[in-house]
Amino acid sequence: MNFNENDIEYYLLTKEYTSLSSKELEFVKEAIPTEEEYNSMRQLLLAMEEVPLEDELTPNPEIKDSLVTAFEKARWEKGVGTKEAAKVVSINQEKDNRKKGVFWFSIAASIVLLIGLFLNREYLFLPENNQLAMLDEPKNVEEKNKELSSNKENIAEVDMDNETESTIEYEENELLDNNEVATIIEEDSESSSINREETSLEYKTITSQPSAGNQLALNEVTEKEIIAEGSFDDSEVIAFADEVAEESGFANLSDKDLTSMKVSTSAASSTIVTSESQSLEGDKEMIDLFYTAL
Amino acid sequence: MKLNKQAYTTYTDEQLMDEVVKGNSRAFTELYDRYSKPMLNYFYRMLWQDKLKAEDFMQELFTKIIQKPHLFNSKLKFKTWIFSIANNMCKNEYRKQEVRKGSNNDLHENIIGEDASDAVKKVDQSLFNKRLKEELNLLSESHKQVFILRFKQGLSLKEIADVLDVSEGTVKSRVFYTLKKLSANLKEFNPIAISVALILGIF
Repeated sequence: MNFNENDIEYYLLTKEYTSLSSKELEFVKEAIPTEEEYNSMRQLLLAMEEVPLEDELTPNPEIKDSLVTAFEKARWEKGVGTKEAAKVVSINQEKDNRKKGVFWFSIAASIVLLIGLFLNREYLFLPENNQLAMLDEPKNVEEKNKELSSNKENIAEVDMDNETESTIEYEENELLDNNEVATIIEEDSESSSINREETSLEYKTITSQPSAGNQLALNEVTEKEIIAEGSFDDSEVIAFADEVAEESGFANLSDKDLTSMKVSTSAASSTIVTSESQSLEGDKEMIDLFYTAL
Repeated sequence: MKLNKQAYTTYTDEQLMDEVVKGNSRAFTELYDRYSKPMLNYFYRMLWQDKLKAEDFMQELFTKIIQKPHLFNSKLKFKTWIFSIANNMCKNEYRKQEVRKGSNNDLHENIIGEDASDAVKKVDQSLFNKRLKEELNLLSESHKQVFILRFKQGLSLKEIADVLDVSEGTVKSRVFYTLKKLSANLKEFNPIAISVALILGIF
């Protein structure tokens, strides 16, 4: 029992009635009017202090466990406290958990990124394996250009007069129709054969303007045969015309008729040659343009 | 864990209760450790020294704190608040016992009667405690509460006034009325007289 000077019990336990001062006696008399009552109460309090208290009870530990469990359960239920308080608790805890989660996630992501960089360091930092670096290096560019240039068609400049040729390979394309010319001419610097560039450009066909007499014969002569044969001179044309004449039944023609035919054929051949030269000049221009483009 | 536990031991009862309202289980555990034993013994003394009933009441008391922590009045001390809850629980139990008094009303009285007839024959400290309990049970509820709160639980007059929701003067008068009545009924247990008798070899 703990009392202080403001408590009457303090004087009951510490002082006899006769030992009280005037002030203290005045204070005690507010609650205890007589000395006999003072002494009786004093005796009781002293007995209570002297006699040891009965053994106090100790709570069962199971009660504590059950209460703590109930507290944990009630914290997440609606019925615990006010809803506002419950919300505050959960929000605060959630915020803390989120912060912690973001923190650890960022650390994990950083570690994964560093591992990835470390594993792929060759591809990122070594120029040999760096595709981007390869493209930027001029050395590779030059090589590539060489490759491209090696795959390009060489353009032959043909001087029809001197028949000089700069020979390069050509690709062969098919003749599509009468308006397109695409042939492959093998390289032959000695022959008079003409190398033609294969292009998709349209050329005017070399057509002959036969006379009426040998219209049929000339019609049977394809451009291909003419060009494949290369350039023609008059004797060759005539010989060829004779062959055609025989086949077509013109062998019995008179000399006059033959002469006119020869003239016509020679005119046609010259026309063809002229046309060819004209077309070659045109080709030359186209070839120059093509080469320039490349 | 140890640091947290030490931190909560330095908290006041009111700070712990604030944490309990926020859902802090450790604060609740600390409060329970502080008040479980005093409240158990309070119920034991108030409810006719029935240990099982005292444990039930103590558990029910803390369950109420778990369920409605927001009802804590921050203007009052926690000690006053928890004793006021316990006091109300005892009042309700007394009302129930008054209803049952017709059938079992002789139980406590018989015990008291038998003990009172044999009390003067033996000088025994344990008997004194027993007699004291019996005398307390004979008192009215309000006087009994005041006596236990004052001399067993150590509450001040102001705290008792807050618990019982009465004035300090009322508490003061009840305290000394109880002391007066008990001292008159337990006069044979005058310690001074007993000491003298032992010295003289009377007993």
